[in-house]
Order: sequence, then structure tokens, then C-alpha cells
Amino acid sequence: MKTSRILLSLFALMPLSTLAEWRTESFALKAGWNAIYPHVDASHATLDTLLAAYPNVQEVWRWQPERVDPREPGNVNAAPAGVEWQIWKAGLPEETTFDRLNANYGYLVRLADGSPNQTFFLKGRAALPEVRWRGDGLQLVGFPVLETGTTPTFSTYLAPTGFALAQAQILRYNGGPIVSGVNPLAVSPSVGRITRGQAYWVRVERFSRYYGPLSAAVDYGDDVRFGTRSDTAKLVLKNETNSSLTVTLGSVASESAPNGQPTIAGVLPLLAEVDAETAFTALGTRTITLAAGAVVQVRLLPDRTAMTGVVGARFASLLHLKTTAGVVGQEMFLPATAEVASPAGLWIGEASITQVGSIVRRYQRDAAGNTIKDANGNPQILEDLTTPGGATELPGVVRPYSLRLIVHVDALGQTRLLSHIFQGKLAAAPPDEPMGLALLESQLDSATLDKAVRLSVAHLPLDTNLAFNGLFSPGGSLVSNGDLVTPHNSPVNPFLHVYHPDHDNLDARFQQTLPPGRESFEIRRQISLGFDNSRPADLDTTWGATLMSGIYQETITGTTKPGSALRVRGPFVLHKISDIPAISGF
Amino acid sequence: MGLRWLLLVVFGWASWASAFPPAPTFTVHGIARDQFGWALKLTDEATVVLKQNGVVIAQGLVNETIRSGENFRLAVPMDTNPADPYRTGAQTTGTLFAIEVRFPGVTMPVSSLTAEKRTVGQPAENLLIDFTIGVDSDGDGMPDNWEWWQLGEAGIGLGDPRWSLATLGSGDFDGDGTSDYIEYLAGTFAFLNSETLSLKITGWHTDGSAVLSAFLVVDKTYRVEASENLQDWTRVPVRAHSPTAAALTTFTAADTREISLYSAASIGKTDLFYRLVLVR
Repeated sequence: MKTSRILLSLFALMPLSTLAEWRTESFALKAGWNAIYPHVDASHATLDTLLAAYPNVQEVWRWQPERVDPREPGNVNAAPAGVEWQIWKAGLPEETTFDRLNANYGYLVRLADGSPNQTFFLKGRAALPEVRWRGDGLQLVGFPVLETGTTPTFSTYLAPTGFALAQAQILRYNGGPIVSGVNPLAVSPSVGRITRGQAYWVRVERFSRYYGPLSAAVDYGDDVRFGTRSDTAKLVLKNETNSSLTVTLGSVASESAPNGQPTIAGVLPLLAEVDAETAFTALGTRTITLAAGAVVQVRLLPDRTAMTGVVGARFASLLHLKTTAGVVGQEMFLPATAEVASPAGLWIGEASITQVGSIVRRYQRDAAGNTIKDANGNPQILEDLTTPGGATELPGVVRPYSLRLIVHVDALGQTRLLSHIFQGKLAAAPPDEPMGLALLESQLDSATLDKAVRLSVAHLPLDTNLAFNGLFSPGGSLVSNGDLVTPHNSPVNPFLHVYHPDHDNLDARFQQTLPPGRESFEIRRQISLGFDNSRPADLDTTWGATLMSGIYQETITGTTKPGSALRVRGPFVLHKISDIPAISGF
Repeated sequence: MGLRWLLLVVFGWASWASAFPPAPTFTVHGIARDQFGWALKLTDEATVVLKQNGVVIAQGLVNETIRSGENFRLAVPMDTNPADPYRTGAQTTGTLFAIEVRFPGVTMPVSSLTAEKRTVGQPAENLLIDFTIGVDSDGDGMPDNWEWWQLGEAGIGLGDPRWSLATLGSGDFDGDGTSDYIEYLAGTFAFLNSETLSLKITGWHTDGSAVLSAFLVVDKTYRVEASENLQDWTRVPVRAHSPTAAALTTFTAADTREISLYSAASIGKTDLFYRLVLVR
């Protein structure tokens, strides 16, 4: 195990691009029969591959008896109904019945007679411990005790189980042939110390799920996998003993991924909220004290603002749990992964306009109030559209108003602001694609039109499809590519109406249409979205993946004198409602 | 008195401490044949049973489709000490077992093995046993029924002094160079010297492939092996009947006759030896 530590340290110094949720365990082997209990899952590769560098390993046997109902111990008087051992034999595929090493199984490993002692290094994905205690007592098990230092005895480590260890049989393999009383060798529960990675026969005929004083569980499966959608992962820690237990929880980088496995962009930055805490802060190293039998929840969240990389880039690290050394010393590793989310898809949200003001051309004046002029006699401009003052100087509104936003991001990251969109089955879509996005109703499947949805906004002209330049991501910003133009003669231009002869855009004889700037003006809107670079306290933990926030700004020209404009500003929130990256019709 | 109690206590602890745990299984595998030498098939619904003192310790259906060269494989549960087996039927090295074959409604004895004749080996060890069901009165490995049938086909009947199980045995009745026992295994007639398990090199194809000729018996499975030194043999694929046919490393004869086999293993070689192996 010392070697594994050294390897871990070396890899921690390597560039982040080589990191993954992998770690290496080591097992000391002697000629003859040995027993190992990996806490890493190496099923990414076949045993032929894993053992290619160990030609003296002749056979691996996995103890895998049929499951027994924990309420009714297996009937040991009946012949086994299933296969109790799975076998791998070097170079004998016809005799091989399994070919992958999974975590949390006991394996017998046979090293060729006469072989020198050697260390078997096994790289795999870290896994939460699991011990298969059986009612019939036929268990070949191992325990996640400390990798280094003094490890506990069986009596102290298993004390919380209440097992009658004085009557139990505990045996360990020590190399050499299988000989009764010699290999495996009996171990005294009160004196024998548990070695991590070693599998032991422990004959206790009681069902249990105990694997150590500290048990850990996550919401789903046996790792913390955020994927591309942020949400809180819950790690539940339980003190299985009847006395207080001190646990340190941290995150460690791990080793390079084996060939063929996904590369890792860097260490997963994790935020944590432990027990009664009400805010997520950087995980760091936490010391958690659990009272006897107590349960503590640790909520975890990836800090997506620190996950910079291409869409899909994988960030990973290992959660490291360690209890106080000595009688209960225990150590566990748990993979945590997340991928950089793709913003591609349809986003719906609202901007709440809280500030509105005008930009009027103002001139510099001296102390006496006179306009300051340059050498050519032109007045010096203090502020106009080309030198707008700070947005925060805009006056607040008495009552904020909302602008609905429909934003689509395609697979290439192109963002568009839309006035409407249809969501439903497309006419041209294959049967296994129930949903699509379209700009025209005619592109929808007419037979399922009743299930389609039309989303629209009122503050944008019909058929608005305004492209943005910039990055749709935390800390990024988007600015409309050109202005959103409402022509002077557009029916929706607010200058134009039929109830007043000065605003019909016709000459005095009502015969000729007028150019822009006479009765009606062209209105231009420049829109920008500036994204927050950290999660606002009032937004939930999906922020950064399916929830985005920031500041909406719009500059409107055409409604005031040349060189002047209206500006509006306010916070926005966008929710992702679809991952579909393409819109039919584009 | 005090010393006697102490001895009893120590003896009791040692016995309990060494009885457990399970050990890697002992495997018995091979080919089970019917009374005429044909390997049993899955469709025969035959079950090979291993017994010790009348108690079944392992059993399994005959199935020739899983591995080549065998049609049964049984795992015998093993323990380190018989004093306290971890389950009923668990064995320890050195115990004896018997084999029988059960068909639906009938149990057949095994002719080439006598009861309690085989010994359980070491944990993880394999024991290859090829056996035949039926009675083998003279113990020569060939069932009585097959021997009587061969004699009858040879025109030997009652009154003929050769009408005896002793006529076929360790010798070569028809003098074709193949022993009676091998003729039995190969499915060839022991009295017909034109039928024998054989392989000959008959020529060379234009691409350098060796053209081989083999006498094959219907339903028997074979493979061809090659060697440059007559010591290290490796399986080589061959094409039956045509140099463009599918290359097979193991093949089962569709009928009984001499056929041509093409082997590309000879291409580029100056010396190469071939041999025909009867798989089952």
C-alpha cells in the first residue's frame, strides 16, 4: 500500500490533463495461493490485459456463491444450485468463466510454484466498500481499513456488528498450496490486524451490511456523477458505532486514465454544504464529528464556473473519507465526476427591467457653465451614444416590468433571440424522435399538432431571429450581431398609426409615402446579455448547467434625437427546457 | 484429570479451526460416449453424475456445444477438511467418487470406469475422463455391445472360436495399423482394414497450400495440427473439399468418406508435418 501512496503523490504533480478518477492498489503475492479484496473496479480491461505483466499469475478465482435471502440462511445441506466460483486461467480461455476484476469481491490468486514474491498493481475506478455477509457464513471478505499506519484488529473493527467473534473462524491466505490449517491460516480476532486489500474467510452466520465504523452512501449508484446537469449530490455518512467518530472529508486528485478511457480535463472543483450549513463553500478538507449512531448529510455541487473547457470535457476527483486512526481506522475513496455542460438547446426566461434612462448628448462646461470648445470651435461632448455613462447610473423604475426571452443555442454555440418557436413532433422526423423545434407551424407533424406547443414573446417583432456574438457560459457575454431594426414603415412601428394625419407616413395630400425621419422613424435595438460568473444566492443548484442568470441590457435609438438613446437594464434568468440543438428551418 | 481436560479442549479448538473454508473446485471433464463410441450430445438429454457413497456431489447435462474436445464439465465443491465441510457434498483431496450417466427414466453404468475408482485431486485441479456407458465385461475400455457388433459384422458367429470378447482388445484385429481401441474411438470398423484414422499429404495447391487427404467418420469431430519439429504442435485451419471453402480449426464430418483438406500453413515452409486429432 505504501507504493500506491507514492504513485498517488507522483501523479498529483502531473498536469491536470492527465488526471482521472483512477487509483492504483497494490497486493503482495507469494508463490501459491493468495487472497485479495480490491476496493477499485478494474472492469475497464480484461484480466488477460491486467495480468499481461504478471506471467506468474496462473489462476484467479472469484468467490461468488448464489445470493441467499438474508432472512433465511442458505441451506448448506443442499448441493450448490449455482456456480460458487468464477474462474480465470492464463492462456486457457476454454476454462475461463469470468474475465473482469470488480471491486468488493474476494479473489484467490495463484502464483506459480517457485515464483519470487511480487506486488500486483491494480489500477481501477475507486469504489465504495461493500461486504457480502451471508446467513450461511460463507464469506470471503475484505475491509477498507487505513492504507498505512496501524490498522485495527478484527475484534475492534467488527465490534459494532455484535458478531460472536470468539466463536467465529477467520482465516487468511499466506502463499503455498492449500493445506488444511496451513493455508489458509487461522487468525486470532483479538490480535490479528486487518490488512487493506487482503481477503479473509470470516465464518459468521449472520447477515449484515457492515463494512466499517463509518458507512457512506450516495443518492444513486456508488459514485457522485453530476454529468452535464448540475444538481446537488447527497453523501450520507453514518456512524455505525456507539461512540463519537471523527471523519475528515476531502478531495484528492488521482491517476492518469488507462488507455482507451475518457481523458480528464482537470480536478473537479467541488462545493459542499455539510449538515446544517446553509451555503455551499469550497469543499477543502472538512472535519466532521458524528455522535454515536448519528447520520450526517453532505451536499455536494460542482463549481461549474471553475470548469473551463470544451463542451463535454470531463472533470473528476476522488472524495476521500478517513476516520481517526487506531481502533476504528478506516479509509474510503469515492469517484466524483462532472462534464462541461453544453448550452445547446432552447432556453426560456425573463428579464426584469429595473432601470430605464435616456442617453442625451451633453456637453462639457466650465465652472461658469459655459460650453467648452475645442480648437476648431466645436463643443466638447461629455456624454452621448459614443461615450455612454455607467449603466448603473441609470435611474431605477418604480415598478419593474418583465420581458420574456426565448433563446436558442445550436451545436456550434451560435445563440439566437427568437420571437417565437414551436416545440413538437416534426413532420419530417423519424418515429423515434418525438420532439423537435421549428419556426413554422407547417414544419410540424399535423397528426400530433395538438401536442405541440407554441412559445412567443410580445416585445419582439414577428419572426425575430436575432443572432448574438459572444459566449453563452458563466462569466460570458452576448451582444446582438447588428441591431434589431423596426423599419419606419413597419406596421408595428410605434410612430405609425392611422388615427392622426401626422403619423400615417403620408404626405399632406395622403398620396405619397414619406421617407424615414419625417413622420416615422426607424427604431433600432441593440440587445446584450451579460452572464453572472457565480451562482446568485437566490438561485438553485442547477445554475451553470440548466439555469443561467445575468444582466439584460438594451439600447434603443430612433425614439429620440440623433446621438441620444434610451437604455434599459435588469437581471435575467434563463431555464433550459430542451437539449435539442437544431431548429427545423435554419 | 486436569491434564486430560486440557487436551480435550485443545483438540476441540484445533478441529473447529481447520474445517473451514471452501477451496477452489476440483473439475472433472471429458467425453462421455454411448455404447458404440459416439460422443453423447445435448439432444440425448444425458446427465453425468458424480457420486460418493451414494450421495451426488456434482452433476450436469451433457453439452458438446460449449467447449471443443469435451461434452461434460463438472465442478466438485471442495473443502479443506472433511471433518466439517462447508456444505454437503464438499470434498477433500483423496476421496473417491464414481460416475454414472442418467437418461430420462434410466441410469446407465459407465463401462470404462468401475465404481469408486477415481480420486478427487487437489483444489483447482482438472481431471480429464473419457468414458463410455454400458457394460465392459473384459475391462478393455470397449463396451461389450460394440465388441459383439464388430464380431458379427466380421462374419464371426456362434461356434467360431473367435466369438469371444477376448478377440478384440489391445491388438489390431484387421491389421490396418490402428488398434481395436482406436478404431472404437474413431468410429471405424475394427475388422475392415480399409477404414482407419489417417491423414496423408497428397499434393500441393498452386498457392503453396498442402492438399491433405483424411478418412473421416460421420458426426466425429476433428482438428488438424502442424509442427516443424514433431514436438511443438499447433492447431491450423483447414478448408474442406475446396481451397476457397471456409477455414475451420475444428470440424465435424457430415458423412463417412475420404475427403480433401487444404492447409495454407505450409506456404513458405520447407518442412511441415501434419497430424489429425480426433476431438470427440
